[in-house]
Amino acid sequence: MQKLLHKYAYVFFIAPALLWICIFTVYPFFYSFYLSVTDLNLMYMGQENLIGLQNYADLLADEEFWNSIRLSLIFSIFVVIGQFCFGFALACLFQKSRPLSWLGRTSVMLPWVVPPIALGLTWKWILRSGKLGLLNALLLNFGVAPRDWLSLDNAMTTLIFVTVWIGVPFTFMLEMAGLQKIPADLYEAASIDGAGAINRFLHITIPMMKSTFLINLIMITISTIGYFDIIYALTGGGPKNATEVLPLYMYHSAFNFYQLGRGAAMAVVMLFISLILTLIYMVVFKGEKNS
Amino acid sequence: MKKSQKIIKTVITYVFYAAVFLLFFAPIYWVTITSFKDPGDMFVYPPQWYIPNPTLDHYKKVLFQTMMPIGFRNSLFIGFTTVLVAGILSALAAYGFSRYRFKANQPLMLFLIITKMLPASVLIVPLYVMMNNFRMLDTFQGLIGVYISINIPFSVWILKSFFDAIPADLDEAAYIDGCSTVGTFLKVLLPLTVPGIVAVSVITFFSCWNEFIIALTLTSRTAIQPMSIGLYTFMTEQGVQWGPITCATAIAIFIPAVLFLIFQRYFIAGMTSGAVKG
Repeated sequence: MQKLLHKYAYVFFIAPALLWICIFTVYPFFYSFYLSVTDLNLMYMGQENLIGLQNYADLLADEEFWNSIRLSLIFSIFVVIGQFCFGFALACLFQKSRPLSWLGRTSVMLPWVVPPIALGLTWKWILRSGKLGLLNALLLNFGVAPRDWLSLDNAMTTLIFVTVWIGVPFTFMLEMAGLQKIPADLYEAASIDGAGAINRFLHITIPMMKSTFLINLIMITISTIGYFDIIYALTGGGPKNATEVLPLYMYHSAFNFYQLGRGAAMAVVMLFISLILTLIYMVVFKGEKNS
Repeated sequence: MKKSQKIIKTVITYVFYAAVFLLFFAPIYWVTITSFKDPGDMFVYPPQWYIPNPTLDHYKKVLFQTMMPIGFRNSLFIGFTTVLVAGILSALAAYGFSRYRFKANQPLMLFLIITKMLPASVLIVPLYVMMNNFRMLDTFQGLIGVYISINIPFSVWILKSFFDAIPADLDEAAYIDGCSTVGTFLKVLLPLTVPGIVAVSVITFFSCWNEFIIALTLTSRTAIQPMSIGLYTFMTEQGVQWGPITCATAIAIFIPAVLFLIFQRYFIAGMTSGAVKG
């Protein structure tokens, strides 16, 4: 009995945490599938009817939905590429520790630990139209005419830049950790063999960083697809629906137009996209662990 | 030749350092100095990088005439409660995963990754309906319950890597000395993982303090809404009152920034051990 108790003691340790996740994450996860086949309305809670795949059929026929998918794609592709390249460039820049480099490193990481919503408001203040906006005032020094950064034509580009700015710290930190794991003697040996800086970068840094790159890319992609805060703070999906990416459209449908069932169907679409990416992530992750 | 090349390289590196520092620090600096500016100095061209007539009027207004203090109080309460409960649950689970071999060990750790990778936005619709059914909409319990749940997976991963780093001989020695399992956990292992616990606590606190979309969905009463929602409502309700808004923003940024500066080392160690290693 004593032995059996000891053998299963782990249950006592892991059960509370797992149970908690089951209630607050796993249950809503599966519940969204059920909700997506109902016509639940926010105004008539608890009175839903099963309507089969009607919500999904409606989505397929909905131009705004396809528009939001298109915007999400554009947003994700540019944010992922921008954040990844910029983050890696910064990691390389700060790889070698020099006097005062901590100041740069710390400032890069700062945007990541403070509330995105506060940063969204900060940028809104900086991007104000007219020459009283800080960005416009600075550009005026270089002879660039003031413009409206959040107008119909500019909003998406601006959002991509701000999101990259906010996301870079995360990439930076992971890549820094990756770079520091590369043994220094590899570089030394290559130097002795006469390899230049570019060759060392191409033949040591890049191959050694491969798995870090992959993990990082997938993590950025998943978080970008579900991205909400900054967009909500800066543009709210507008002007018109120029920046209404999938999460924004889902939020509006569910909570401004009360169509919870339809919102759930969109959530399921997003779930599938992130699940597929997560599975790829796990395969890579496992591969790295075993190697 | 060699020496001059080296100097040029150093100079270029430092020019880049300065540019990076400005790019990331300037926006935060700008919003902070704006919050101390006299309303008359806020809208001038060219922009002033210093504060001509420092004033605390905006701060007085934000702290005594708006709902923002309630938001800050709620955020602190929600943050500390989540840190406490999620920390305890995660430490127990991490210990279980680190010290016991059982069939479901690896699959369950992978399951934790999956739940961690889900973006919060995909869960808001079912969470809203679920909380409505449980009568937990607009309550601290509902919001904190979800926050604990989204913070457990990563915390378990981080703490497990810290437990893994402690040799199992230590447990055995304690066991032989007459320590029970729980005693070993509390008296021998937990003190050794303090850096991990600090890291997890800081990361969890940040994630609560910064969280927006779940709070936006699950709360509507000012009395329980966290700071992030207060900030957003403040912005939309007051329209163009940039003075008080920049103040509230500066306070919202200041608290995690200071925490980050104090706990930077732990924070980065935790983040990287959870995300890169396994």
